[in-house]
Amino acid sequence: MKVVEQRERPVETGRLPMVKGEAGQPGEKVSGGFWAVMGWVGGGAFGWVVAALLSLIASIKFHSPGFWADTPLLTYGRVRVAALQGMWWGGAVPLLFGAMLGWMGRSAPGGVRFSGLALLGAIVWHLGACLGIVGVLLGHTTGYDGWGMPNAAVWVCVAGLLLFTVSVTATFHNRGERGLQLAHGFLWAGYLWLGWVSLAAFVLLGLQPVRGVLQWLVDAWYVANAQMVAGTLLGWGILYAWLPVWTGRPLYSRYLGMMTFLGLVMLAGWTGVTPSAPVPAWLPVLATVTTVLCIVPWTAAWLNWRGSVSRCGCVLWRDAVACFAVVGCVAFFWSAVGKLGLHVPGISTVLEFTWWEPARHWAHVCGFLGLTGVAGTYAWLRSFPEREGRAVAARTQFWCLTAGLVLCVAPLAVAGIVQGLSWQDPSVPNVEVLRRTLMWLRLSTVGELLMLVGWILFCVTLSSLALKRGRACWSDGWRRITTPLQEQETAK
Amino acid sequence: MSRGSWIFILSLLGMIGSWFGTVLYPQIQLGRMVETRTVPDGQVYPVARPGLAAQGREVYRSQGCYTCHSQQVRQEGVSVGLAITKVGTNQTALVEAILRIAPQWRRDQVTAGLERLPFQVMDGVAAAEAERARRPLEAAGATTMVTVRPVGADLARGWGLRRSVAADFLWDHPVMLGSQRVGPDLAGVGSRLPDENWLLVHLWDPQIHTPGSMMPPYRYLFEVRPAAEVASQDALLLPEGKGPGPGKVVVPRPEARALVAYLRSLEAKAPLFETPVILPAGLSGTSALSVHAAVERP
Repeated sequence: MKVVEQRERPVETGRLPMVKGEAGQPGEKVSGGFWAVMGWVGGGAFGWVVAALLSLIASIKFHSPGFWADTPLLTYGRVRVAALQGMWWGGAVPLLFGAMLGWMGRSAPGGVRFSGLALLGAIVWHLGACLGIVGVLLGHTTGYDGWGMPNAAVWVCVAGLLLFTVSVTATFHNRGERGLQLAHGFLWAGYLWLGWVSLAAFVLLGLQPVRGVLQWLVDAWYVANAQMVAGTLLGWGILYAWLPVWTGRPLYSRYLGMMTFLGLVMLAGWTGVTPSAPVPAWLPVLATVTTVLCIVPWTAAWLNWRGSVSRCGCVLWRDAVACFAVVGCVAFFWSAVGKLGLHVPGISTVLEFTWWEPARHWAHVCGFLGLTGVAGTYAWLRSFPEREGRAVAARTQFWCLTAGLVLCVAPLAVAGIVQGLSWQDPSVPNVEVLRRTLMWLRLSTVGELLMLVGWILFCVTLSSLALKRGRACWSDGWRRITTPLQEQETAK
Repeated sequence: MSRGSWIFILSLLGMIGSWFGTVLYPQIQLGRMVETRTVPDGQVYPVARPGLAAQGREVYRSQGCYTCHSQQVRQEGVSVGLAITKVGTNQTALVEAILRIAPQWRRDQVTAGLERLPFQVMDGVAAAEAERARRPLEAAGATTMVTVRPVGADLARGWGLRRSVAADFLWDHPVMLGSQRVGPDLAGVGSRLPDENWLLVHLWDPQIHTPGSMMPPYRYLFEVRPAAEVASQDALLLPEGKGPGPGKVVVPRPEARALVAYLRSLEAKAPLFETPVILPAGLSGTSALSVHAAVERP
């Protein structure tokens, strides 16, 4: 893979300026695809709002179990599953796909190719995600922890994905610079990997279900591959794509980047089986060994990140866009530590089945993937004039999401430790174990609320930008229509 | 070959490798699994859940019960011991023999233990030691049994008799092992709580039996009807003051009855080759501990 390093303009903080050299028609170069990318990221932002709202409702039930208990649609089991599925299918994945398309469109002359198809794909995908969430709330979930979407919704999402594939492939093929960047490898691998594991899980769990405990194994394999491999590759792909732009210098080391890549694709897919799963003993052992070995790619990613942002960490933190990436990165390393805790013998006995895993999941999906997607979206939006003056909104959103993430992940992690330690004493009844964790669970509700506010702000920001652009397009079109014919001819 | 080609090949290997190792090979190993026989009884295991319980599994899935309840009991190891199942005719010699092989007992404790058989004489010893200790006891006329009792924090809580294994889920679709425990594990709830009315009342209002529980009430799985319209055997037996009011009764809907049938069918306790449990009749995994503790009390 011939890797071409990016070297672009230095960081400008406090405001979100246009791309250099595009002053005449700001954003014109990348505008062929504004609506396509906006379709994916805007829908993703709305998906995050829905998922965060459902998650908040689930969390409130720990304050009062009777809260909306008489409404079958909103019983805890359904709301929680809908929140988790919505977070993945409705929020994280479309946001990352949108950021990926935006970045690729940026490096292609004329922007995104077949943008109409990509926009149609976004609409179809979000329709599928909505169907899935409604289906889960109506009780049509599959019963698996990871692969929870009803079959009908998956078919619709697959159609959306295929349309997206046409557009993103054509856009990639049309890129101006023929050499490949490290980010291309990460993004494509993540995208294809996600397609592959989703297809395999759909066939083996939805269409031709395997027997017995193999169903759980397939689900565990899907979760590990979708989140730990595909999601991680997409997240780091977005970071590697924009880091040179934010820091104003190339990535620290492409070899470390490759080590991260190869380590993730070779090892992380094996990490799904939990230590006490009722499967042949070699499977949990293998999962533990590969999880420990994943320290290598995680460390490589850390070294590369540290080298890339050294001496400009403060600048990144002050940047209204790059700060999302910084927090996302921290969340990733926290989730990596959390994953290790779930597999290391001794510690895993305490942490398994506790709130530790939801804390890790939040850090990875909501923290790393969510915030990275936001960073990628805002970085892409810098090319457009409508983005001007939105730094304050972005900052507010950043603090809401960051504080929400911390207030969500930290209490859940502490609750997990308390719960696990309490379970070690058989004389402590389960109700008492739950009572010991309640304070932390209730504290996490504050985090959920803040995150909801953050996602609403993100959604509002994108909507107002889309409205502004839509109005500008409409005015332009109207002016062209209403301009007298004679004047046009004179102009010619 | 260029570096890019190598990276592509390695990525492909990683992609196929995890699928082969985590899905395909386990399919070869477990995919053709059929019913097995319990050890030593030789009963067929597992038996597919009956119709109502199978319907209840759908209710369990639809309500998302697996988000709060796991169905996998963990086991940390086994404890080998020796139990006396019959005393024989020479109790005095037997007591002396017990005191010789297990000096931690007091004479009065042994006498009390022999009155409530089976009596767990030794626990947590090596298999060879248990076999050695067996001979003098049988020479004194007792009938003994080397016991194998699975141990672990989950088992000590009474959540099961042994760890969960693949065979327990052979006929289930979907398999809802769960990944989190807000409530207790349900792998053995059918053995632990076999009373249908108890489970129905718990679904109607969890606070009745378990004050402080965070489980939501599933009232929509029940109907409140005038008492005159309902046959008395169909109505839910609620404690005094917990009912819907005078002249009214609570009747479980078919979904509630199916869910309870499913919960009662969750009895993953059969001793299998891969999870040996050898205990005399009347001495379950947890009751072995409680008998031990009861005997130890002065």
